[in-house]
Formats: sequence, structure tokens, C-alpha cells
Amino acid sequence: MQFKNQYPPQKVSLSLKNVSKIYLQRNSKTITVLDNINIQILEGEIVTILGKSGCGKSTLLNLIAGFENSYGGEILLNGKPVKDISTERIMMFQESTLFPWLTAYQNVEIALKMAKVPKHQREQIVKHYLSIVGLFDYSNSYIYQLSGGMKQRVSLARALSLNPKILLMDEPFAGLDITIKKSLYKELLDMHKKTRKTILFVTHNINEAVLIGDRVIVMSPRLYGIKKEYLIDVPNEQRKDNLSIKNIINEITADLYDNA
Amino acid sequence: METHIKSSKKKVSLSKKIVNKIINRDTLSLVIFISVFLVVWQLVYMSEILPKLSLPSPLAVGQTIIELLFDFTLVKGTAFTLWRLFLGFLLSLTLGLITGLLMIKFQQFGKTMSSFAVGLQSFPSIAWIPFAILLIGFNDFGILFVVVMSSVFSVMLSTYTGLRNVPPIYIRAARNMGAKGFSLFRYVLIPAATPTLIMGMRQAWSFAWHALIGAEMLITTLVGLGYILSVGREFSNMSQIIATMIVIFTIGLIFDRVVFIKIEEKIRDRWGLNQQKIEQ
Repeated sequence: MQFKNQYPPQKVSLSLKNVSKIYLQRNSKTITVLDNINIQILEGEIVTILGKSGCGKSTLLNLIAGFENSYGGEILLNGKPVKDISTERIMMFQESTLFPWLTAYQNVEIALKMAKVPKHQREQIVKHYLSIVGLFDYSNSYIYQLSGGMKQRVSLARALSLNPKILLMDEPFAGLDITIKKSLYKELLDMHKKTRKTILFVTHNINEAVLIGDRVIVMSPRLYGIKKEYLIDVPNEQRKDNLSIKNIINEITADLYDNA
Repeated sequence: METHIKSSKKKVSLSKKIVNKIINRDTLSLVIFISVFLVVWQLVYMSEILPKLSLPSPLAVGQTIIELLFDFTLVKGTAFTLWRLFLGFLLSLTLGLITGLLMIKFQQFGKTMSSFAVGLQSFPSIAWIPFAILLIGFNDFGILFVVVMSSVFSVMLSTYTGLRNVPPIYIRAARNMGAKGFSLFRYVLIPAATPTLIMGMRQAWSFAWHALIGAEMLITTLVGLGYILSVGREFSNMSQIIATMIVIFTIGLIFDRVVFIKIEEKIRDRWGLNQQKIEQ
């Protein structure tokens, strides 16, 4: 763990080449949301995309997930072009998308049903991932019985159960209070240690981006694209109160608010 | 009352528990309510404000109920009426669900049909009767037609709106997990729309029930509660009319309280809707 950034895994997971997105308005004017984005994400890496609201970071995630299919440029996952929605790229949303008519267990199980995982394999997978997020004891609870943080942990278990090649997280912890957030960061990083999932994490929270990411990509609304990229070369456990981390946070804050 | 319940709760015997469940506060207040109503009725009767022919005593009506039960007029009438209700409601459900689904599938059709359905939903059921008589005739099918026309639009609209109001983010997440076509329907759309569907079904049931009694009164087929009512009017037999009304009221109450409220509560519990109400 300590040296993961010094010996990074070489295989590229996701690669975006000159990705642009232009929306056509009703009055046939166009709005550029993304312009010439180039990003490469290595396998097992956690990359956070940081930007103020309206900078196109969610749009970028939607393109990668395949929710929107018209864009310029190329998006490749393991070298293959991304087409349509697929369980290879699972998105986790800010709002809970768990189904209130099902228990925690059933919510994970239904993902496997939808993905047509054979019946005899399901039970083991569901139990495994509910244990990973520490909610095995809450298997039979309905969603309304769970707290906000627990809900997102079930969502995480559900996303992981489909064994995606990349996990797309769209501000999954926004709207939760700070203590819950902190335990979820730890949970996410622990999970990452165990599974080495490639994660693309979108947020508007600077601390969050720097705490979680191996790399932080700062987006600019003016440029419709990437402003700067930071490699966070400090192990996750040591990032709290670390001087170089503080410097990076200050630098990013300046980046985001200097109106460039 | 409360002390009585408290003291009896301490005893663990099963029969006591069952008795307590039946004799709870709601049932007791219902009994008191009905008793007060009967007393007022008896007082009005004794004051002779209204002629005795127009307002018989509660006792006389009670006797009529028993008589009509024992010569099977009411039993047969109730059985036929419930059978028609069952058939009509089943037909409405089937047709309403299918049309509702088609309205979702074909968007333009859905748009047009829904505005028609809104109009037809509030169309008075009795206004269908002359049309049904001339189109179909004085028979069971005529009655069924009126029942279906009065209730099918509620089912149709609740299916349509229920499915349309499924949060898009559920659909997005489900498609991400590999659901499409039928599995999207089965695993997400239908369960998510169920609370709305149940409400629509309850409304449809109540519309069907209104329409049925009206149709039975006017489309004479010689059986059914509506027919007994119209016979009571022919012979100025107020006891028979009130007795039948009580039966109609009771059936309505039983269906609404016992069947639909139970289903609705269960679904609200499961969906966590009751929980939110308490927390707020």
C-alpha cells in the first residue's frame, strides 16, 4: 500500500480521448459542456474529479456510464470502445436508488437477477458483499429502517456485487453528515484495499477529493475541461494533518476560486 | 375502557388476546356510534313526525332483514350482486391494466387516451344506462357493461400515472444493472407503481359498486340487491328498502375496511411510507 504510487500498475482501465459534449438547445443554439477531455485511469486506481457544480463532471460520468451516447471523441474501457449501458461500468448516485419495497438483502439480490446471474450463485455473492460493507446483520431490514450512511453502503454492496470493471461514483456521500462521511471514506478505502477496484469518483468537496483519490483531476467551468491534475503521493491513512496534503488543498482551492 | 384493556393485557391466555384484538377501541366506538344512531332513529319514529309508512321502526327493519334472509331473497340477491361485482371488477382490472400499459408503450396514444380517460372517469355511471339498454339490452351483459365503463378508467389512469411517476433514477439504476424490457417492468416499474395502483383499484372498486347498484335498479334482471330496492319502491315497502340499504352499506364497509385498507396499510408499511409520516 505504502508504495502504490511509486510502482503504479501499468494497465490502463479507462481512457478518454478528446471527449467533447455539446448540447443542442431548443432555439438551435449550442452549449458546450465538455471540450477535449483527455483522461487515463489505470487499473486499481482511484481518481477523483473535482469541480464546482455546472462544470460538466456529472455529464462526463453519464457519458462513461453510457446513459448518453452522443458525444465527440473516444471512450475506451480496457481498449474497447464504450457503447451503451453495461454492468462493466456501474454508477452509484448521490440519491439512494435502493428499492424501498425490498430488504437490504433483496436489493443486492435483485441486481444479480437483473444481470442474469444464475440463481445458485446469488446467495453467496450477496452475503459476501453485504459483509464487505459491514451490513450483513442488516440483511433483512427494509430501506426505510436504514440510516443515510447505511443506505449508501448497501448501494455500494449492490454496485460491487455486479463485479464492474470500473465503479463510477457521482457524489455518493454528498448530503451526509461529516462523521458518517468519515466512516464511509474509511469503508470505501478498506473495500478498495480488498478488491482493488478501479474507481472514478466525482465530487465538489476538495477535502473529499484529496482524501480519497490517488489522483485528483480539477475541472474548470470556463475551459469546459481539465484545469489541472494532482498526484496525491501520500498513503491514505497519513493524509490527515499532512503538510504536503494541506499545500495541495490550498493550491486546489486557489485553482477553483481564481475565476480562470 | 383503558383500565379494562390494561388489566386484561396482563393475562396471557390466547383467547383473551383474540377477544382483545376484536374488542379494541375502534370496534367499541363503532358499536357506540351505531347504538346512538339507532336510539335517535327510534326517537324520531316514536315522535311520529313522519308517517309510519315512510319511516318504520328499527325493530321492524330488523325483522324484515331476518325475514328476507330466511326466504333467501337477500342471500340470493347479495350472491348475484357480488358475482356481478366480481366479474365487472375483474374485467375492469384486466382491461384497465392492459390499456394503461399500452398507454405507456405508445406515448402519443397515452397522452390522448389519458385526457379522454380523465373525462370518462368522472362521467356519471348512471348516464351509461340508457346507452347500455339500447346497445345490449335488459340482461347481465348490460349491467356488466355499465360496471366496467364506470370503473375501468380509474384502473387505466392509475396504471398510467403510477408507471409514469416511477422515479427516473430507479429506471436508470436498473438499466445500469442490466434490466431491460420485461425484467425492468417486473423488477422495478410494477413494484414502484404498486402504491398508486392499489389506490386506483380501490377507487375503481368503489365506482364499480356505485354503478352496479344503479344498473341493477334500472336494468331489471329479477335478481340482485338493486332489483330488491326497486321492488321495495314499487310496493312502497320502506322496511325492505332500508333493510337492503343496510346490506349494501355493510358490504361496502367490509370491502373497504377489511380488504382495501388492509392491503394499502401493508403496502405503505413495506414501502416505508407510514414511517416517514411518524418521523416528520
